[in-house]
Amino acid sequence: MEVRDQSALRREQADGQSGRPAGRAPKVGLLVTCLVDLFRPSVGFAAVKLLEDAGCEVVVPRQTCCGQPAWNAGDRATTEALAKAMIEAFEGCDYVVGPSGSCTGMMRLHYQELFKDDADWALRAHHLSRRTHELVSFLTDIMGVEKVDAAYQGTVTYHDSCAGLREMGVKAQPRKLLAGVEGLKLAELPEAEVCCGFGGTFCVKYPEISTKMVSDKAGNIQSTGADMLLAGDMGCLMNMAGRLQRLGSTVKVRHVAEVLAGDLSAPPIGESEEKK
Amino acid sequence: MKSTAHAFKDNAHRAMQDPQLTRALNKFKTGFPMKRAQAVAALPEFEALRDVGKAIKDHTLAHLDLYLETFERNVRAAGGHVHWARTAEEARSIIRGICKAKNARLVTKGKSMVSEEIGLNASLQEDGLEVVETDLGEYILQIRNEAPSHIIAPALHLSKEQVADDFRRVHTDLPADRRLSEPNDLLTEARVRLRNKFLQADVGITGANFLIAETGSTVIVTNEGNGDLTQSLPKTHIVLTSIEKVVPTLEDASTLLRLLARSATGQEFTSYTTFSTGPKRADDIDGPENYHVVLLDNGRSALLGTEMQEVLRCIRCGACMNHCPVYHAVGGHAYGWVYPGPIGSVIDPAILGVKEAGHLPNASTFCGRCESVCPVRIPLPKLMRHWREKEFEANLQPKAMRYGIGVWGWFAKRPALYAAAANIGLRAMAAVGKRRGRFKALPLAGGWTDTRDFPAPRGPPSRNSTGAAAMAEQSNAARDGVLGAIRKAASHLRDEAAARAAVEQRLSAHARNLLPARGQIPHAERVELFIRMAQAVAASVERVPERSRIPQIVADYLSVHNLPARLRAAPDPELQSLDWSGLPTLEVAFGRGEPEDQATITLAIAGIAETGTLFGASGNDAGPTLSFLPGTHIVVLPVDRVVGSYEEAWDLLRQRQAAKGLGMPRAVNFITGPSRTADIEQTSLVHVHGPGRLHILLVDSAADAPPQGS
Repeated sequence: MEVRDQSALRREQADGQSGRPAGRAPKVGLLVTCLVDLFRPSVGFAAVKLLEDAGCEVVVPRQTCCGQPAWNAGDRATTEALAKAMIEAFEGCDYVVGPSGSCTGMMRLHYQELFKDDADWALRAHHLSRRTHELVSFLTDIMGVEKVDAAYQGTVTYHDSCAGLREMGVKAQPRKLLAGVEGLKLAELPEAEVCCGFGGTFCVKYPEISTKMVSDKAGNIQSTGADMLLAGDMGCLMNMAGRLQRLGSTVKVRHVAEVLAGDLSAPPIGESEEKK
Repeated sequence: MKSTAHAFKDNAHRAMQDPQLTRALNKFKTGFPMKRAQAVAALPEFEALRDVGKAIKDHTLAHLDLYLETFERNVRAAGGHVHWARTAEEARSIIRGICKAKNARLVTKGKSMVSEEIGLNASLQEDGLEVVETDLGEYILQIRNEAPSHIIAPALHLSKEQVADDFRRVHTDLPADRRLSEPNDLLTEARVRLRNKFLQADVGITGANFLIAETGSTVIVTNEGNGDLTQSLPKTHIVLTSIEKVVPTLEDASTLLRLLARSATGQEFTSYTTFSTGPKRADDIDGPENYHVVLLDNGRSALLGTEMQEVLRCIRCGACMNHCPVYHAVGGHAYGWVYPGPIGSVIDPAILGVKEAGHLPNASTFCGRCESVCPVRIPLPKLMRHWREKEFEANLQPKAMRYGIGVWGWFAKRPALYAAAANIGLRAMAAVGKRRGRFKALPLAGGWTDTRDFPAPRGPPSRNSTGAAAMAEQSNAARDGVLGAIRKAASHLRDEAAARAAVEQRLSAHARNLLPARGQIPHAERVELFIRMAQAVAASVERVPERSRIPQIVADYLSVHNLPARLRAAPDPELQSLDWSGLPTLEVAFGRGEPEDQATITLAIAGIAETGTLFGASGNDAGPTLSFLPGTHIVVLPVDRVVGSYEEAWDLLRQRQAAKGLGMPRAVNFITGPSRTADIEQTSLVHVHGPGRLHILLVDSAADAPPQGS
C-alpha cells in the first residue's frame, strides 16, 4: 500500500488546537467543491447529513474554487487570488471539510507552498490547512464515527482516488464505514490505487492516454462483478462513469457519501431520472 | 540523442497502437511494482532509509563543490585522471581525445544513460571506432538502431521473436536454421558474440551509479557482469558520469545501495556492485593501465539553488516509471528523449528547455504514485508543476487552454458572477441532460466525449580543436566553469568555514547512518542468515568442516558438474598453502583468470549476511578476471569472516589495507549470486557475461569466533 506516513497528520489532528471548544458542536465549514456544486449537489446534501449526524454544526460559506486548476496549469497569480478568498471565506470555522480528497488536499498541502514567500499569508494558510479534512476521514478520525445509519442491498467496489489516497491518507476509513452499511458487500477493485486517468485538465489535454487509463480502470471495475462503483472524488467518478457508460456497462456510479448517508434519491451519475 | 519530446502526443499515439508494446507494458506494470513491494516489505528499515538517503544527497548537494574537489584529488592520488565537461560536446571531445591518444579501434561499453544523453556512440563511430554495447538489452537495441525505452530495462518493449529476427539479420556467420526460440538461446548467442569483444577491446567505457569522495572511487551496479568485463579487460577504462553522483563516504554509498536495487528491480542487492579506484597497481594481477573519469555538468549546476535542485538527488533507479500509469500506457520511447517517465518529465525540460519538452511535465495526472515510491523522496509532481509555471510565465501553453484558464479564473475570483455564469450554462445543459442523464457530445469537449459520455449536471555539433594545448586550456576552463557555477549557487546559502568543517568531519567520521537490524545478530545466526540469503539468489553453499578438505571437495564439485579437472586459483597464500598434491588428476594453476578458464577459485575477504553477498578486492592475490571470466566461480569463505552488514565489511577492508600499508584497492567487488539478466521479455536468466554458477565453500574454523572489528 502506498500511503504517506499518517502519524504526523494524526498527531496534528489530535493536538486539539484545531478542535472545538469543549461543550459545543464543532462548526464545520462545508467545502462544496466546484464539481459537486455544478454537477451533483446531492453529494453536498449527503455530506451535510453525515456531518450533522456526527454532531457537527454545518455552515456553507460563499465560496468558489480552491484554485487547483490554476495551480496545476502553472498560473500562480490566479491561484493566489483564489486561495486568499478561500482562506477568508472559511475563517471562523472550526474545521473545513469537503467531499473530495483532491480539493481538500490542495488546501491542506499546497496553500503553504503557494505562500512560502509571504509570511503573513503563509501563517493564515497554515491555520486553514491544519483545520482542513476530507469528508470520510474526518468522520472516522476526528469525529470518531464507527458506523453510519444506512443500508444498500448489493455489491460495491471502491476506487482510491489519488489525492485522497496519497495526499490525505484516505484508505481504510471509507472501507470501515462501508462495512457498517447494512446489506452492502464490498468487492475489492484490482489495482484500486492506480490513477483512473482524470487528472483535471489532463483528460482533455491528453485524451488518448487518459482514455487508455480509464479503459483499464473500467476493465478492472467490471472484473469485480460489483453492481456499483464508489469513490470519494467527483472528477474521477465522472471520468469512470462516462467511460463505463460509453462501453455499455450497467455498473452504477456514485460518490461514497451518498451511500454512507443512505440517500440514493438522485439517479446514479450519468443516469437519467427514470433509471435509479 | 535527438529529441522528439515536442512530438509527445504523436509518439504516444503510435505507441498505443503497438500491440507488442502494450503486451510488454502490461507485464511490466504489474511485475515491477510487485517485486518492489515484496523487497520493501522484507526490510523494516526501508522507509527510514529513504529519509537517510534523502539527507545524504541533500547534504552532498549543499557542499557539491567541496565533495567534487575531494573526489578529484583522490582519483588523482590513485593514479587516475579527472576531466570536467560543461556540455555534451565537451564530454564527447574529451572521450574522443582519449581514444585517439590510445589508438583505439574497438570500444566496449557498459550501460550508461549519460552516454545516451551526450550521443557518445555516434561521435565515436564518426572517428571510425567500432563501439559495442555489452549490456544484453543495450546490445539488442544497438543492432536495432533504437534508443532505450527504460533507464534500467532498456529493451523491455521487445519480444523474443523480435530479438531472434534481429540476431538472424546481424549474426550472418551462424547457421540460418539454428534454434532461437527461447530467451536462453538468444542469451547464449549474445554471450559468445560479446565475449570476443570484451577480450579485444582497447577501451572500456562505463557509467557510474555513485562517486565516492572519500576514496576517489566510481561505483557500478550491474546484474550481468558486463560492466566488470568492460572495465577490467581493456587497457583503458573511461568512466563517463555526471556531477550529482558524488557521495561523501563508502558508508553513505552503502546506505543508498540498500535503496537502489530494491527500488529498481525488487532485488535485495544486484549481482555485482563494484568500486573502482584508479588504474592497475604495479603488483596487481589484472586491471586497466589507464583510468579516466569524465565529470559532466550539462545543465545540472544551473539547477542548484533553485526549486529544481531536488531532482539532483535522483539515483536513477527507475521506480517512478515502474509505477507511472502514463508510462504504463505509452512506454518510454513516447517521451522522445533519454530519460522517460516522471523523472524524465522533470530532467528533460531542464536540459532541453521547456519549449522543446513542455509536453512531458504536462502529461501527468499528478497521481503522486511516483513520489510515493521514490527512494530519495523527490517531489516529482511538484517539480513538474514548476515547469508548468515556467511555461505559463513564458506564455508557451496552447492558446485555448490559457484563454480558458484566464476566463475561468476571472469568474472564479468573483463568487457571485461565478455562480451566475456557471448556472446559465449549466441550467441549459441540465434541461437537456434531465431527459438523457448524459451527453454523447459537447462543444469544446471533444477530448472527453470522443471516448467517454459526459455525465449531465444535476441542478549540429561544432568541432573542437584537439591540440594538446587547446585541450588543457579547455579542461581548465571547464573545471573552473563547473565548480564556479556550483559555488555561485551555494555561496549565499552557507558559511564557507563551517561548510569545510562539516565536509572534513563527514569524510573522516565514516558514520554508519542506519544499519538494518537483520544482520545485527549473534554470529551463529548470522552465518545461517548468510547461507539463506546466498541460496535465495541462486548461489550454492557447502559447509566445509576444515580447510584441508577443500581440494577434494573442489575436485568432487567439478566432477559432479561435468567440468574438466582444471582449476585456475587466485595466487593467494591461503589457497597456495592447501595441499593440492593429493589430487594428481586435478590441474591447478595459480594466477589471473584467462578466457579459457571454466572454473576458478578465490578467497573472500568477507561474507555479508544481510544479503548473502561475497566481498573481495583486487591485488597481487586476486582480481576481477578470476571472478568474471569463468562459467563457474568457487569462493572460499572462512566462517569467521561472515559479518552482518556492508559497513562491517568496509571496516575489515580498511584494517586489512592499513596493515599492508595500502589504501583503497583498485577494484572492490560485492558479489551476490551468479550473473543474471531479465532483458529479454522480463524473463530472469542466469549466466550472462559473468559466471552462471557461484559455489561458496563455507569453511568452519577451529574457534568459531566472530571477526575482529565487527
